[in-house]
Amino acid sequence: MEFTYPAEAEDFRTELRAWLDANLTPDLIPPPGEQQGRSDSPQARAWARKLHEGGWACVAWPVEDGGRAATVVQQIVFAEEMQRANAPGHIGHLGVTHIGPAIRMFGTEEQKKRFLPPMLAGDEIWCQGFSEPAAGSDLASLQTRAVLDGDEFVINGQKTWNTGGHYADWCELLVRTDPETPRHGGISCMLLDMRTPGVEIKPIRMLTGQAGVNEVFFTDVRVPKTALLGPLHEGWRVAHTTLAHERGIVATMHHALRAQIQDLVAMARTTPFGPAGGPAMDDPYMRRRLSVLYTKAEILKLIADRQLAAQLGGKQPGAETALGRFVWQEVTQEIPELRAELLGPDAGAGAQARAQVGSRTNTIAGGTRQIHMNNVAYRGLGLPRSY
Amino acid sequence: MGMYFDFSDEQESLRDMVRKFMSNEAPISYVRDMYDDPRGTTPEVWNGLAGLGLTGILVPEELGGMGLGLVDMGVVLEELGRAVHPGPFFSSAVAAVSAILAVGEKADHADLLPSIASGEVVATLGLLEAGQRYQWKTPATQATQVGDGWQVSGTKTHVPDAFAADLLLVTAATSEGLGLFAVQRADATVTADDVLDGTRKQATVELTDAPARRVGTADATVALGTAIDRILIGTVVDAVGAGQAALDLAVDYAKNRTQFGSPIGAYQHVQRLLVDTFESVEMSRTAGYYGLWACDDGDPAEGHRAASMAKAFASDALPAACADALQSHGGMGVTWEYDSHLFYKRCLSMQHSLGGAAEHQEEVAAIIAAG
Repeated sequence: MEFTYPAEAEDFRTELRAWLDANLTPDLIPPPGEQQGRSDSPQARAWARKLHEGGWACVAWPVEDGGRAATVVQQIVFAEEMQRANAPGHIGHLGVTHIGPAIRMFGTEEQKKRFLPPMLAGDEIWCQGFSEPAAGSDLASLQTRAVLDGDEFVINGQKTWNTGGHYADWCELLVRTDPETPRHGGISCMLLDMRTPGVEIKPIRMLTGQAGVNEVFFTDVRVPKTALLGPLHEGWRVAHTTLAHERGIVATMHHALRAQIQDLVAMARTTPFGPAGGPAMDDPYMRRRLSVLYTKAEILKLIADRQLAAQLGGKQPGAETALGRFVWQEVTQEIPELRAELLGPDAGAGAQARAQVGSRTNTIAGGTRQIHMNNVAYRGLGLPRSY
Repeated sequence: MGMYFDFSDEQESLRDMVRKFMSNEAPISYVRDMYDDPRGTTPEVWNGLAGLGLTGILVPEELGGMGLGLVDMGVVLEELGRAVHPGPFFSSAVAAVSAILAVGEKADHADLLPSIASGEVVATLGLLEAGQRYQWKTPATQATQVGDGWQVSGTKTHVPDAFAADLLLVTAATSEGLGLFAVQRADATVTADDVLDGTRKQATVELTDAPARRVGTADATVALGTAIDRILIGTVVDAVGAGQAALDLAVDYAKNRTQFGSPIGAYQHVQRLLVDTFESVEMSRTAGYYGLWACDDGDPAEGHRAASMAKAFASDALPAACADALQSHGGMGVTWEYDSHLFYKRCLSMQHSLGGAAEHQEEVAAIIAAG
């Protein structure tokens, strides 16, 4: 066993740190509590351009496509340093990390030339149209239809849980092109201009009271045949390229959690708690709660390290990947719950309160905890399928 | 150099060797034969383990051992846990050796370790006393200097494998702090406990002016603490092996047992039990493996943090995991003839060993508070 990063990763760290020191000005850092890199603003756009100019918009991409051909460890170092500097993410994060790789793998030369450069620069923002009201965890049952009419596809249907569609320029859209072939077989992937007539976006008000994601309606939306990404009826395979890229991200998810737990510990040193009214850090109950949460987050970090090491060793990711995902889900909910307990009567108002209820999303988005558990049951333990 | 969170090819060969030995020489039928045996081992099996060099893994080469680290020993322990192996291997090759290495000086190592490495002497470590819970730093047992030697008087409780041991290492208070003493088993009164887990024997050891050899010369508190961290990680990794075996057994059962026309493993309530078990075993394993490495890496503070976290988590998580695995067997799970309870009890033994969740959660809290 070894737990050191190779030298090329540390050189990469030094270069990135110097660049962040020079380029990440305080006006670019969003206030605490605001989702980083998830909302449109002049600052977010300016930051994306800076990242692109510095060659940091997507370090994993090949050099000729504007990336740095970063190794897996360098990608982890990138996440670590961005977290350390409190740097916001790229406004086109979803495109850069999820959709760009699918375009690179399945796109025509024209598609690559047309879409990749403005995606990296943050000049064109991408969103996804995957889930539907009747196709959530069971994505393959999606019903939005695209019918070929001459040189155009005509799209009708509805998507939901769409992130960023209200400011996105383009959408990676999954549609059913062959209604005769059930489930995975008849699905195609389209690259859709969000300003095409017939596309209607309605915000969904979330339990925090704030708008988060959208419903997107498609009524006789006409797109050229060239909007197809990858072969006709093989959109499921294209979408899976996108989903597979989430894997690398699991290894970086715990960094933010460590910082949040450090904040809780700092809070516990000064927040009075318990009958004696001394600092929470001296209270046996609170010490126990902090200890248990800290240990769980540290084990999550070690799970991520194990996954990373397996990936570096060329091993296929196993059931631990799904495990890392749902432990992360739990910890991200337990942190705001413990913070609320520390705050006591102050817990019911303001940004903390919204963050706490908002964290219910974490065991749902990107696959519910229950779906991840099913994956562990079938793929990890080899149990018979229940559906 | 690099990021490598796995065992080496040599370590995997060691694992294969131990697994083969267990399945050939000490299968479950042997475990059951030894369940009520006060020593918990046979000369054939003990000599077999020693013949493979396993009793000397942690002992330096110049003293007849293999000179390997805790990561290597961890591979062996996980396999022993998987086989719910009874007998004094852990007490002698891990606990006693770690304590002697940490507390002892050159002469102690040279005098005591070669015969433990060869398996000729079985040793154990007694730390606990009645009414003291897990507290070991200020024992009531007293040691006094008599001429060139020492005499020890007092009672040690829950001493693992004391009945099988030839040499008992015990803590005792001296006029200048905590000391570690080696006492011949023949000079002690040993009464076996009626233990729940027949693969983990315990006994009460009474010492009355027992002639003793002092191990080390200085106060042993800090050095022994380092040894205890290594022992803790060892017990966790052993229990991970048992937890994995419990899970494997339960998964196999769930795939084959049919009720209402389907294998019960197709029912999501049963799946959930097994996925929860998987989660607990895998998290304990990850914490345990890291602890093996951290205890070998040379920074005792990080070794202590890693050991405390692993034991804080695994103490409750692994017994609960085994209980869920047992539950998934229905009525079979609560019978003596079915093996599920053996793994469950092994994890309960780990839970009660050198501090449970409460003690180690507090230890982690102290580390956080100090940080």
